Amino acid sequence: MKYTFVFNPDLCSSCSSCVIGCMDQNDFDPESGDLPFRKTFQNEIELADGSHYSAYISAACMHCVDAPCIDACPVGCLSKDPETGFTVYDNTNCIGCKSCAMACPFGAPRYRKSDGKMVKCDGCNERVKAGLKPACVKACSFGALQCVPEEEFLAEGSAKACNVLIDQLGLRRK
Amino acid sequence: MTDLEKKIVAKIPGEDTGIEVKRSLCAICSPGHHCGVDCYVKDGEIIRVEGTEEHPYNHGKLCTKGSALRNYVYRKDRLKTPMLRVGERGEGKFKEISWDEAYQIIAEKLGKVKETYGANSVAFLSGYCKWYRPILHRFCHVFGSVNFGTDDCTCSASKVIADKVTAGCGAGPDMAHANTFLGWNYEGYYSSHLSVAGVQKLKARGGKVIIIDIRETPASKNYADLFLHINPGTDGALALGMGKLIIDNGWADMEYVEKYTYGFEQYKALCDAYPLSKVSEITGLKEEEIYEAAKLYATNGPACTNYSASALVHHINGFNAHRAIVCLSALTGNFDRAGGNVPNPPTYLHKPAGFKTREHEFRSNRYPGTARRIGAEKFPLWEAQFDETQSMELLNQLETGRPYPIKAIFALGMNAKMYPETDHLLKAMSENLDFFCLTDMFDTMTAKYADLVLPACSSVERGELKAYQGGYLTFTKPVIKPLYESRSDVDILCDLARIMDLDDELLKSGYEKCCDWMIEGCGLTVADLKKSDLPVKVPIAKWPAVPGKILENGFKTKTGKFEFYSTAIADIDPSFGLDPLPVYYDSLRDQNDPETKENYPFYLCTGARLAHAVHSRTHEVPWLRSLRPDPTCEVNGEDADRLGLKDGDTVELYSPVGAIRVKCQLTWKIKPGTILMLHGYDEANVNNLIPRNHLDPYSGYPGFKGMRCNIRKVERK
Amino acid sequence: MNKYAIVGFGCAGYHAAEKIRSRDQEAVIDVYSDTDIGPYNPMLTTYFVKGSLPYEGMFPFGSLEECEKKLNLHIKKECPVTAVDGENRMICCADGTKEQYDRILLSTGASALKPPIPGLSLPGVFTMRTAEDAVRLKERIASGKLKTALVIGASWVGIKVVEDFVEAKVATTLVDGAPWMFYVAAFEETARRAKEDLEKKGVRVSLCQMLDHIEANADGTLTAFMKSGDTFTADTIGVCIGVRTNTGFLKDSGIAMNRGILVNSRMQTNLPGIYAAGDCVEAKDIQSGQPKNIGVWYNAGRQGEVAGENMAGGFMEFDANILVNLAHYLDYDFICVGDVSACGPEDEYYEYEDEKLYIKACKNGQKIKCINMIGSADANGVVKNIFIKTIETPEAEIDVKSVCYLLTNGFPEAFISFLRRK
Repeated sequence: MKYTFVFNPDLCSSCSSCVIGCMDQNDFDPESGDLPFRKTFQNEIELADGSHYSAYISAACMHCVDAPCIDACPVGCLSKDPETGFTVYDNTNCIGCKSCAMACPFGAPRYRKSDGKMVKCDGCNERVKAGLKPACVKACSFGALQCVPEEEFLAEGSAKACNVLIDQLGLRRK
Repeated sequence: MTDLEKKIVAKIPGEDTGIEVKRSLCAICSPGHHCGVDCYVKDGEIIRVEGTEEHPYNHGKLCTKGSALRNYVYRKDRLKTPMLRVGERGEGKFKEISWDEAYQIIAEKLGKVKETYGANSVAFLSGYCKWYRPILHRFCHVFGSVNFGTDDCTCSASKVIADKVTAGCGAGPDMAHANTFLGWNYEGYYSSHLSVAGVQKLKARGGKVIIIDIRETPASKNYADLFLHINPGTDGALALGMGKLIIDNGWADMEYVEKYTYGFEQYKALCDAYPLSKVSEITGLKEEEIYEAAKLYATNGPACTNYSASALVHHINGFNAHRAIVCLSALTGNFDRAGGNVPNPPTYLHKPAGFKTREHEFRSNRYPGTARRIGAEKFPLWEAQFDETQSMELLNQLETGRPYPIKAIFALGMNAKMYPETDHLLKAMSENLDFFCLTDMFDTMTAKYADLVLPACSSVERGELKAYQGGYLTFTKPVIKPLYESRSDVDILCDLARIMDLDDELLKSGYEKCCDWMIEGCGLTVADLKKSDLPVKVPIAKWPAVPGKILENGFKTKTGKFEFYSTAIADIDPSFGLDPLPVYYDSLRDQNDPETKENYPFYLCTGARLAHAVHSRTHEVPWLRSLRPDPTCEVNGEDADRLGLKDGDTVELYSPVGAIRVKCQLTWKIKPGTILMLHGYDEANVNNLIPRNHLDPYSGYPGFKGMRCNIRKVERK
Repeated sequence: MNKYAIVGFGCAGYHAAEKIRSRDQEAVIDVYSDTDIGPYNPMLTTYFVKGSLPYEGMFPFGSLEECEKKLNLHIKKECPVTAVDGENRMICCADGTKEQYDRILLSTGASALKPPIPGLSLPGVFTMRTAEDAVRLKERIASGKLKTALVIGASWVGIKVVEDFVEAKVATTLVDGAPWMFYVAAFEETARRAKEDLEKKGVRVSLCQMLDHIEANADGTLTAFMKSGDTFTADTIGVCIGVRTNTGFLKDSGIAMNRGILVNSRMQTNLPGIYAAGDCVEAKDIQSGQPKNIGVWYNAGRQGEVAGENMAGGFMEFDANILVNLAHYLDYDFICVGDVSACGPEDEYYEYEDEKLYIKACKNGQKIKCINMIGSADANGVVKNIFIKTIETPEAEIDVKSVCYLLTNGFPEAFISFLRRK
């Protein structure tokens, strides 16, 4: 079964539980200077009228259906898991050229200084295959971040998809 | 990688991977929560933590802090062995000693102070975690001291007392049946993650949400139909103004008022002094906003209110502000009614579970009563209503030795950073104590001042009794062995009871026996509870709480009614100037002389919650710290422009009693003139800015969230 | 049954074959390759030299045989195509054979440019494009005999060759004919920073140096004589002055060409049934609206896919052709998005620098023209995407998430305002 990450910014508070869940799953060490695969953003963005929009966002790899990073990788590290549909990778041959980061509109791939290789969110591929939720989704208490079977997602319409989280500034104000 | 290797890396539990899921609870935050956790354990080590889906309290959900439980448990600054001070107090020089040696030293030192100065000169103090408090409380009394004190003296007890002297008890919002939710200071995302689903459900069925806060929050953005961005410290005036609107417009439930309340006429007269225009001016809210909020709250059917544990009562006018807000609930006939606020008394350690335990008797039936507790002389209402010290007076009593000297502190989890003028307190402790023993999980700032330090273990390394909403009780089992030589707090206390040969067979018989004593009659024993990995439904528990019982049987006040005019306060010596009505006064009234006003023009609000922090407990958890690496104050963007401050600048925050250096973050979520600063940082302890006498006279609570300060840019050298 | 020919089997050719096969199980697919090795990535050569990749790593799709088997192809090894009869969709090979097809894809790629300058064929003078080039240089470096190296051309390949030498502790000089490094992509200020960084890392950099000729010396070293009169002597000389599309064989084919084969957004040439993709084409650059040869791996793959899909009866368009350059070498990141040559004195410029980041960008009114960034690493794709969006829908605002991402990753608000074109 293929899965889609669904993020609803109207339920999010940037509490970062998802980030911590990701850190726990991936044994994140802040002292390494690396960044976790999932990040939250909490910014106040000035609008044309001088007021500020408060953004609360959680983001990681969107696992795009047509993932540009896969084509961009010159050594073929990246691929789609045929079962889950997640964009997974084997960085054995990674040369750290950052082409994937250049291709990704979301800033998902990260260059890991310690070994000069690229790493990214793999959707907790093994967990999902084992019937568990991705660590970030499991950690979200508010229903803001979900991982749903593709059919269910398509049936509900794509309005809330991660990769259509292209909120135009100013249009989302309540 | 083989498939099995992949599974091991991905921490998939199973026989093949050798990863076992063991259950416990997270005790990082207040025991009002404490969510069930699944610990993934491999080779005796926790490798991952997540919320327990089957847990009746949290249903698999964990907050930001709880999600970092593994990182918290394995913090590098865990205390490893008992340690005896070898350097000066505060220097942090210790030598390792054995548990036996440690116990002997404690017995000897406490015994000596008792002999020389009397048992009351030993204070038994507790900070977080709170789970062992019944044991420590009894221990204190059996030792012979009246002075048991906890951080309740600055936490939520002020609210508890305000509830008690007004309605006889507190009452929680009945979200499931309300049409309107008045979220006064409500930000569940940050401090009560499980409450958010209730708000979502209420919204989904067409309910209305009013949020009143000094900052825009995710909750106000995502859920508020009406958001009242109020001037800090003016909530009491708003509540009285809303009261006036409700009365004047005929929105009050006069039948309820007449039948169930006391002192309405005096209350009405008080409200009359708060016409809309005046309230608008004080609160900074538009008259229409106030009107709309009052109308929606009073006329849209059942309305419940969020009563924040400490956001309000951390103003020196906060006790009354809370009372004024609670009064709205009675005025509109929502107290003890479905969809309003329904009383639900705690069963064990702040948790309501629909049945009674003998916790209070266990704590207090050996109360020696040989003296008045610390703070009693200054805060008579506190003393009359709460059976602990008001430790805001500890500093003065240490310094002056009056009314009697405090010469030893035996503390568990004591955190001096939670006291105003922290540095002065630590200095006074250094200079005046004969003995200071501290048990803690971590090598804290306070631990450096101790003569003897004992290592405690975490919640996942011990077993503990815990009640849960829904009528549940559990006794957890350790998921890993205690790290290093750490021990469970209660085992330390019961060991000491034996070694000191205290006159109490119960304590000497150990923690589990004490628990059995407290829960006797509920139909279950500790042995029964230990058979299950999950909380067990208690046979006698009645859940959910049914509204209307108090209306039927009478309020637990002297008049048997809801008291707009509090008879309990009226009983206090009038020379203390406590008003039986919930009067409003300025939250900076002790700092409003022209000079102070000019030199400290900003309103400092400390400790406004963020999702990743609770007091100082998570600042040293690397994952959580990485979310906000630097101690940071939040400054309104317009103020920042005026002062030439930019995001990331280093600034100094200062008050008449102290100064700290922090990073500055610009925000438009707070009003100009306000500065927010999270407390609990060693290197930037904002409580050093709070003067010891900036206190609410009703409760003795410090004005943590309302205090004058100033800010200046620190030029980089 | 449809008959397809793929001429040239690199990234574009492979992707096209894959697409065709996924749509058409029955099709006959003939692949013409002038080598006997699998599709490889020219960009990987210097990484192989450096040792960050095994030899096989340069062939992300496997060997020719593996590709043949996986996609059920007929691969004609070492079979250079000498001409194409465009009208008849006929392919002519060096051995005289001719074959007609329903659809033809031209994906012959590009070669290292070797102008007719005396001395370029001397032993020790090398270019860097093919797997063979890489093997040869790796062996020479491994021999330990190289003490000094000269690299001619501060291009994307040149800089990676410099990196190979620096990592092998070979004293290296980089020369370029232009007044500053990365001349086709960098603003002068950006290039100056890159140069200073290189010099700090021990590389000698000399600019405005046009090569006149190269001579071999008696001691086995080589000397490059520049038009300026300067000379540079080194054990080896790399010539990395650019690439040329492999399109010579199409001279009389009737296929419209500029410097590369001209294609529309479906990768069709002017002749029906004939498609082209990859480094040998000029597709429409969305920034200028003009055809441009932008030879990067990503474009080749996408163009191959688009061509394959369309050849097999589907409909797909390639629309992401913009000038993007990424140089990552010696712990240094430089990217250029957009066309620096389109920027002039009448435009508005933004410049920013802190300890980690350098930005220089240019716009005119609502139109962003070019962005240079040093040290922006993980955020490059976000900025590139914003740039593309501003071209596609000039009236639209930047999405909230990208703004948050940039703010949180230390990009100044003024830069974001610049991108938002307020």
